[in-house]
This record gives sequence, structure tokens and C-alpha cells, in this order.
Amino acid sequence: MPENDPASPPSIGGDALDAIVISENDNIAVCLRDIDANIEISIRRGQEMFSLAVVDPIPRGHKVAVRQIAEGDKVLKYGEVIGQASKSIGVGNHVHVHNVVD
Amino acid sequence: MFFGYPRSDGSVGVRNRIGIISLMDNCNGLAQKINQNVRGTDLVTDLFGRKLIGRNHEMRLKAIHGMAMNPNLAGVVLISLHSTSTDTFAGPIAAAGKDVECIAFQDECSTWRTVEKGIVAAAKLVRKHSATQRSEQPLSKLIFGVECGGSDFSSGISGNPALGHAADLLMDAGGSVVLSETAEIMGAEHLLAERSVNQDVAAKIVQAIADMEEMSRMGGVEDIRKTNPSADNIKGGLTTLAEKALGAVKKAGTKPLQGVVDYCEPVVPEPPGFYFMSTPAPACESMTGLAAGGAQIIGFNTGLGQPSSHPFSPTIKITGNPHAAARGFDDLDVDVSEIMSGSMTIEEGGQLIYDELLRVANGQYTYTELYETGQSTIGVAGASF
Repeated sequence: MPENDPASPPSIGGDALDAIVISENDNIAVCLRDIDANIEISIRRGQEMFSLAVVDPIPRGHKVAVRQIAEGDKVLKYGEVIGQASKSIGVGNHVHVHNVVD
Repeated sequence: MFFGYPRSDGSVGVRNRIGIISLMDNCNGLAQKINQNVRGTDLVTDLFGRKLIGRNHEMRLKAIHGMAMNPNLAGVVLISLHSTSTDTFAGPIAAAGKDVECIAFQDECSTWRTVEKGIVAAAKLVRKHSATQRSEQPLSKLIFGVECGGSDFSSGISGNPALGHAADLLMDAGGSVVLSETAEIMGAEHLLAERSVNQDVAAKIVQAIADMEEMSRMGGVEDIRKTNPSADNIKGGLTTLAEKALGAVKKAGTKPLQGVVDYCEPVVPEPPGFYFMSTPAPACESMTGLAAGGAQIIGFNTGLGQPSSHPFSPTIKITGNPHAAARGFDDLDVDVSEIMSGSMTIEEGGQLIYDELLRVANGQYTYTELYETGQSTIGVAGASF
């Protein structure tokens, strides 16, 4: 445990990382900060870092598609099925209640 | 392997303490005085304890017996109003091979004579058992409870996945992991059923959720499924109930589900692996179940900070939130918040937690042990979920 200065807590997200793919096979990443539309973001998946062009604006804590997800496809987070795409979701699109159902 | 204290029932403690257990709320103050005056003792008090009926009566019997039998205790001192109540508990504890002393107020009819008797009884037990030394033990003797509280944005992204990786490392090495908090896994029960080793276990996990939903309906909550994920959850980015539940389930790793036990029932890790205990969701009630089930150590992930720990089961506080890590430097045992800045992988965070788990198993203190801020609360059926 580093001796941190409680007066100046570091900001969530740091400098480099924008989003995380939690399990290797997930087709979404979780954003660690508010992401603007049409920018390149930096994503970690295990040891690997890669960049991805984001299409939609994506709020912190929300999901972005890192693979093409066809209508009816499973949405995978934690390596598990969290829902099904109710419409086709392109890479870089926001993945949420508007395009995913239980 | 680790170095622990072998007990006569075959279990192994990571601590060698004497439990001071108050069996009635009216004796909590006496029990506290005994605990304060004898080094090597840990205190559990009781909020109710009299005139409980039905399911709550049974839950309390199991909770107190289970906590007394926790392998971290070499012996227990029971304090109550009268010997009828101490004897109820002392018989089964002694029969299970654990040293037990009973202190009844009405035998003395005096606060200070009762306290004095308790202090001497506790001191004798501590002194006797302090001669026991740690010895080499297989990790199959270790039961690790996983808990989260004061959850936030970071919990499902960094802290819980890292804790889950530590859980997997422990199970790969032969140990066991217990997940709890029934309401928190609602929505992921079908996935846990799929992960179950057989149909019987699968049916039990589905039934545990159904019982919890029925109990919440009896308590006046019509359909908790409909209100989850909540509007706040959705605003925060959670899309489905399964996603919300998986964020909590993730902290127990990825192994097959070996068994499901009821609240405060012993977890018998045969075979070792992943187990679920049906408990209320608040951390104190849940950890009381884990301690009563035999968990020697609890891993507790928090995003916003949460002070609770169990007095009998050393509780490792973990955070994946950089703000909590910076502010909680005097409270949190493991900081995996660098996962959020990209300089640490989830697996590296899990390894840090696993290393700490082994150190604590071998005797290193957690912060909450040193501060003696542990708290035990036996859940009340129908009052919360």
C-alpha cells in the first residue's frame, strides 16, 4: 500500500487507459471516463493494449462494442452472457438498454 | 500450504484466539468487560437472544454454534443471564471437541463477580492454548469468504474481478471459496445453475433466490426483479439484471459450484472448491454467516469504503478505486486501483490479493484486526434481504 497523500487523490482513469475488456472473450469494453464521439481510445485486454475508434459518446461506466455484434447475438461481459443484441451493434457503438435486452 | 493451528475436529485455524460470546443482549456489557481485560480474546455480542421464535430462533442457534466452532477459536467463553441458556450452547460445542466455559450472571448475582469469573476463565483458556504452535497445513483446509460492500463504479471493473482471480488461484491450489448475499446474485442464478456440479446443487441455488424473493414479498416488496437494475444502475451503465449480478458473482472466481448451504450452516469443503451460502445482503449479517460457516478469512472489496469486518475471521480490505486507496491508506489492506489507470492487469491485482491472503493465513494482521473494530450481526428472517 503506497503512502498516498489524502489531500490530492489521483483521478480515476490516470493518463493512458480509457476502457477495459474484463474477460478475454468479451465483445464489449467498460469505459473508465466519459468518452466523446468519434475519437480513438486506448483499451486494455489482459496484457494487451489496443486502440479503437469510438462512434458514439459513451459515459463513464458504460459499455462500448469492441467487436461487431449482430442482432440476436449474445453480449458478453465477465466472460458471461449479460443480454442479447436487439439490433445490430457496430464496433465503437454504445452498448446499453437501447440495443440490448435480457 | 500454509502454517495454521490444527483443531481436534480436523479444521485448521489461521488464528489461535478465545471467543467471548454474549448469548443475550442484557449480558453484552459484561462480555465486553471480559474481552477488554484479557489479551488474546475476541468479542461477539448479540442484539436479540431472548424470546425468538421459529426460523429466527433456529438461525440464531446455528449462528452462535457456528461462530463458536470457527477454526480460528481454540476455545470459547459463553456469557448469559442464566445457566439454562449457556448450557444449551455449551453441550454441542464441547461435544464437537472445543473448550468451552460458561458464565451465568444469576449464579453470581453480581456484575463484578460475573466479570471476574469470566476474566479468569478466559485467561486460563488463552494461557492453555497459547502453547499451541502453527504447523504446516494443506490449502484444502482454508475456506475464504468473499464479500463486497460500499460498492461503486470500480467494484465490478477492478476490485471484484481481481478478487475473483485471487479466488481462482486459491481454488487451483486446493482451497475453497464461499460467496454469499442471495439478493445480490438474483439475475445470475441461471448462470450459477449452469456452473453447478449436479442438478441437486443447481436446484438449490435457484431455490435460494426463490425463497429470498418470497421473503421480500412477505415483507411488502412486490417484485424486486422489476425494480432492478434501478434507474441509478442504468444511468451508471448497467444494462441488465444479469450484468448487475455478475459484477458481484465475479468476485468468487470461475470454478464449478460444488454446493449451496443455508444461512450460518457449516460449509463442508468436500470436495474443496466454490460454495454458496444463502445470506442477507448487508455485510455484517453476511460475514456473520461466513464466519459461522467456517471461513477463516474474508476478502472484502469496497469502492466507496466500508468499515466492517468479522471479529473471528480476519477481513482483508481491498479496493480498486484510486480515491478510496488514497483516502483509506490506514484501513485498506490491498490496493488494486492501478487496474483503473492501466498500469496493472486484473490478474496482477488478483495475485496481490492472493499473496496477502497467504500472509494473513500465516499470521499477518489485517488493519481491522489491529483496530478491533469487528462486528457481528445475526440476520433476521423477513426483516431484510
